[in-house]
Amino acid sequence: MKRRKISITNVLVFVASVLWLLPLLIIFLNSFKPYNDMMQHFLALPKSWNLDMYFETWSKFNFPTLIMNTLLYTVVSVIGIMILAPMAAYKLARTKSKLSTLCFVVIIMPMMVPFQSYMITLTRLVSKVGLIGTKTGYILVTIGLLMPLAVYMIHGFVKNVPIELEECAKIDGAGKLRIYFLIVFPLLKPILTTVIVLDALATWNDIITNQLIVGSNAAAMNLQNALYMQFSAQTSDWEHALPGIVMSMIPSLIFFIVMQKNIVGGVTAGAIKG
Amino acid sequence: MKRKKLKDFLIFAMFVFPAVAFVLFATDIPFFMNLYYSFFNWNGVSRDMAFVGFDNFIKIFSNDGLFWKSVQFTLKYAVFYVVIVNAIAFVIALVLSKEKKSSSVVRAFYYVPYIISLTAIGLIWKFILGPGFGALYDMTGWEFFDWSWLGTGKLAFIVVVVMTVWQNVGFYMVNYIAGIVTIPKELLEAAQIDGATRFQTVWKITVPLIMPSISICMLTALTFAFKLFDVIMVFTKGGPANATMSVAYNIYQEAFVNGKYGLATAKSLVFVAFVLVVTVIQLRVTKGKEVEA
Amino acid sequence: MKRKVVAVLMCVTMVGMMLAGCGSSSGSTGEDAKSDSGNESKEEVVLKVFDAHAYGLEQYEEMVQQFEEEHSGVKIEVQHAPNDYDTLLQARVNSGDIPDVFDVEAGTKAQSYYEYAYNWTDDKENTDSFHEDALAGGTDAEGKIMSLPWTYENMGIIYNKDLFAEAGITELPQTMDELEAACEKLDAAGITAFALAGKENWVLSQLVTHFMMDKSLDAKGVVDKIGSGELTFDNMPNFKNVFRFLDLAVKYGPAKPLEVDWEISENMLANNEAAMIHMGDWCQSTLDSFNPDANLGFLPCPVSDKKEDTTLLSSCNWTYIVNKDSENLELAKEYCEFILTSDMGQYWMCDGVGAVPAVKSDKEVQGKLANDAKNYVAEGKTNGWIHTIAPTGYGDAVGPMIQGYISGDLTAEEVTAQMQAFWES
Repeated sequence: MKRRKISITNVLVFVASVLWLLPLLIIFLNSFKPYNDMMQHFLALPKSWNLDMYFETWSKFNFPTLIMNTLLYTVVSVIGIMILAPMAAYKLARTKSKLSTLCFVVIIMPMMVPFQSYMITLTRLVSKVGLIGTKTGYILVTIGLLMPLAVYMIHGFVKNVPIELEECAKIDGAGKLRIYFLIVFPLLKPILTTVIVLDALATWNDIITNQLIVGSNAAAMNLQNALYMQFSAQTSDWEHALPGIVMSMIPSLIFFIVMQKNIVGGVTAGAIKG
Repeated sequence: MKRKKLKDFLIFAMFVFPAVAFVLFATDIPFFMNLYYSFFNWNGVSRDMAFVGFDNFIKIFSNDGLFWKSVQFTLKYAVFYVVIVNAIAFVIALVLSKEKKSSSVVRAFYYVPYIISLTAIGLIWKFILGPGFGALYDMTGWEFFDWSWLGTGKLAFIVVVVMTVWQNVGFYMVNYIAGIVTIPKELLEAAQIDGATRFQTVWKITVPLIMPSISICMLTALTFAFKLFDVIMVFTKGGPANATMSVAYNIYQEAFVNGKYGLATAKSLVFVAFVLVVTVIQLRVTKGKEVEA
Repeated sequence: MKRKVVAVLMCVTMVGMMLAGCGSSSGSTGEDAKSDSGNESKEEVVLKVFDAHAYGLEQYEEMVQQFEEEHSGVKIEVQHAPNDYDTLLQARVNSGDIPDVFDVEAGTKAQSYYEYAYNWTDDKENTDSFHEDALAGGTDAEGKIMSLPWTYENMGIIYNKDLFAEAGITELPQTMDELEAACEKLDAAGITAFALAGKENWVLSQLVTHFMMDKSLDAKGVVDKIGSGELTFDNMPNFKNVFRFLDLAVKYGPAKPLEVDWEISENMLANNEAAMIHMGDWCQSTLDSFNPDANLGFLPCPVSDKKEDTTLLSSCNWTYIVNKDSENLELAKEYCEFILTSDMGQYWMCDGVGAVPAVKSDKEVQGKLANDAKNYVAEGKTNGWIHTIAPTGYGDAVGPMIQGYISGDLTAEEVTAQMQAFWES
């Protein structure tokens, strides 16, 4: 009886996953088609599989620079979050004081605010401190924008670290810093991995923040921003955009597949209870 | 004692203040700069702006039907989205939280839409709903495929829900898996030995123990729903006839298309105040139910 | 001991982060120094140009290269942003990063930037090279020339000549009745008459402007009279016919009119799947990429039972502004003149973009539709654009009203009333 119940849900989940994958395949197929062909026969196989548009997009858009930029932004932002967010989340979760609540609110509040409502004032602020159009400015803003959700997620997970562990270590004479780095931080691995994946992908795929902060500095543009510029209300350069999009997704996919092993495998319940 | 307090404070500051500083810089301060602009009429470009006091706020409450329509849409959307996406993600996570290779691959499938750039997603759905449904209708003759999905307000609403659920379910799934994985296997096995059905195991053990995950997912889903913009911008543009206008899109339109920046910032303040209230309530509810392992 | 190790580790990571940050910032300060202003130690001067063009980009490149060759030590940094142009321009102006040269849609949008614009009124030598009516679009409330026109853009009904021939239509419809007759002929021949882009607010709101005018009142005249109250949507002579037009477009159009976007609309026309759309000649290159052999032409939109009222709407929509506070004002002015009036500039506009330049020119224009429009312009069968001098938010306010009418949620009277209410607010 139990076996059968599991099977039906299992089957459904596995079969349904195709619906999630199918669109990716369709995009991939369409990246080989000329514009009119794509419009007229969207679901059909491409007439030819030549990679010309791929090569042209690569060189025309200067993919190497774009990839280097995007990689830089992603890596530095994620490192920044990984250093600062768990620290703050941990301390805020363990400290019960008015200051702690205040800091928490200040950090979490932006989660409810639509970006559109402050994007202009943000650009004014960034330009006032002289960081407009710079890579540093973009990275700092990105870290700031990713911080609320990261802190919130880790904060919720700190509860999974039994406080007894910390108390034992304290009795053993360990200082607060050591407790944090050597005991708490490793135990946050599943949520940290989730946050890394989330933030890396968000930064990799970012369009609008890059547009606003980087502005006219074409040398600091990221990949998705450059591709997005190929569209407008009245023109669509799908022939370059689709190959570009496919190429930009490959690193993300690989990254996710590699990282997700860390979320599920590797951390078993035993590590916490033991 | 004072020394210890000072030391504790310094450690607290070292841990927390950098994060606070970043958030202040990137969001809090810019958002409150808006408070200033909401008292003016400004077109977003000019060096001059006219002080109008509370006019903008008065206008919101007396003469802005479209804004309240968008609030209604956003709230309705939030309810559907939060419930549906979490339910589906949870079930998928339950099935796929094993370490099998097949689970690993299928997990990646579900995550794919989350990675695809939004412009491509708009294109895909345009074709699914247009020629795609057209072809399916020719094949099956089901009325379902012949309805005007993007042309009618109610159906467009469903499209927006389905699109965003499809796009984001992978994210919540990953969160739930991260939570499910921390449940001690012994607990689950003990329950099964005691004769609990699968449903009972899930309801009485799994769910309470992953309350942190549920809490996170609920909140992120809620905040996503409240901030819904990208899909509207790329796909429906608020149509047909403003049926899918979200609050964020309304604010954007007011600021950048209508050139009424002061009014737009006033609206965002009103909306955020409202959202804060709702979120605090939601937080209280789920935090109260959390169980520590 | 361990505490020291941890402390050192933390310092190392912090320093590493700062170095990464510094590395990129020194890299970008290098770039910033280049893109920030004209006066730095290096000899090179950088001019920042920002526009919304999506066509003729190769020719634009050639044009830029020639300018740089003629002015050694000058680098032109151009950014084309066809998408979200308004938002980005606003963001740049707000961040103090105003481009030296940028273009903007004439009318209310351009007006809002005029406080940053250089005044060309006294540069007679320059302004004389443009057509007079073209310059009119770039003047402010006091008649000063604050921006220079780019090209003429025309819009109206674009029709498929082959399909019309197939249906046996020999004379182009010029009244509402003739239009209906043409639709019936197309329908009888099994051809979809219309592929109106009902999903797009901007298409619908542009269509409506035809019916706000008649030959006695041009765009500006209409706007002024509505403002003074002389003209209301109720008493406009041709406004009621917009509903008749919409009824035809729906009856003789695709099954789901509100799902047709501009891409599908143009694609159907170019692939001989529909006979008429409402669009402008800016879409020439998209149409060409769909089907270079399509036989298309402009059809002035019938709005009444009088042949004289049919018009093509023509305007020098995009207009160029030079930042009056630019650090390289003379150079910026020179560049602006160069792209709008010189031989290379004309090459870019006529060949690359395929449009008729605002400057007086003899060059042959590549765009088929633009050439078609030239004839109507010569015959005086044109009116101006209303939607760019209408109150801000016109497109996004009127579009949904029309969609409401098409879906049956709003009646003609309600739409008329709402349009009046919008204009008065």
